[in-house]
Amino acid sequence: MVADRRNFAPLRVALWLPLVAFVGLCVVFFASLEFSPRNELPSPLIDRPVPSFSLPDLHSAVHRTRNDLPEGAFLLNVWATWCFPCREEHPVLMDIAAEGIAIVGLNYKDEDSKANAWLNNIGDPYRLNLADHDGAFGVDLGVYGVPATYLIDGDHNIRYKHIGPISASQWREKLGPIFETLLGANDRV
Amino acid sequence: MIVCSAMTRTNHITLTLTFAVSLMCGALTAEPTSEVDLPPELIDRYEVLIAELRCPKCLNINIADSNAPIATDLRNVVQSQLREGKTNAEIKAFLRERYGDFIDYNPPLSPSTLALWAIPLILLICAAIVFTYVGSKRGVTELSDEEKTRLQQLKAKYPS
Repeated sequence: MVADRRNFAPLRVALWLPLVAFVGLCVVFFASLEFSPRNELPSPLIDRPVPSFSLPDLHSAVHRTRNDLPEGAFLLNVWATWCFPCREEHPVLMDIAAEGIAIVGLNYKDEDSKANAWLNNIGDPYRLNLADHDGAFGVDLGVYGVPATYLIDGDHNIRYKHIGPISASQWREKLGPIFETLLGANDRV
Repeated sequence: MIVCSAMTRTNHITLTLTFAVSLMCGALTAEPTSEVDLPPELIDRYEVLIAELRCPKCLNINIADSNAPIATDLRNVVQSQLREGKTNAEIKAFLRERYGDFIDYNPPLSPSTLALWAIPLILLICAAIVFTYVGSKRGVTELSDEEKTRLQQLKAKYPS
């Protein structure tokens, strides 16, 4: 009997390995379900230039290109009147614009008349508004949900992508400070 | 006769059920193809591509099965690029540049996806090691001299 137990001791330990591995995997999977940001894909466009475009201005239908983007760092905000969270985000954008920060709007798969009425009614935080009627520029930007906001540096490179509406606290605690660093980089040039 | 009529009744029920189910399936599968406007020789490639491309909005569904507006847009992108004569690889590269490797259910081998390819291999090697180990242990079941004599004693004590 004693001899038996000695022979099989390493095997007994090995028999527990699958269970240990299984429990380990469960922990990993549950942790990634709970803690990974479900709705945020890393954008491959980070640190790459804003894709080139030729889009009508929402207000005048004049075609705009990359050369019409504001000088220095700015926010590129993808929005639409059919997008409910955009309304929630709107006052925050108004506050950001009041700080003197340039915001470029990309009116995504929307109707110009509705978009203009929205801006007339509740205020226009945008320095420039581009109309992406068919969402083609949205695809170039990797947009898959509205609203989305890109932080663009002074060299017109995309430096950060925020998915979903910006809340006042998110701007104060996260996006604002990141934007500050882009301004700093621009000032040094 | 009674058996026969019972059989036909069950047959009727099965037939009706099969018919109803096939109607439902038809209704479900017919919907996504209605928007396709491609020459017949491109349809097969289109079906393969939209099945392999993942919807960025809905996380675990391909763009063929998703009703999200972005999935419709991406299906249209795939269609127009197919019509322009782009290869499958070019179309996938176009979308990967914009949405990342996430978009592709058949991701390329890269440092970030290495684990996907390596883990099954590692598990296979582990399994092989465990099996050979268990196998070799099975072989070593020789009885010691003491045990042999005890076995003989037991056999003598309890003859079969």
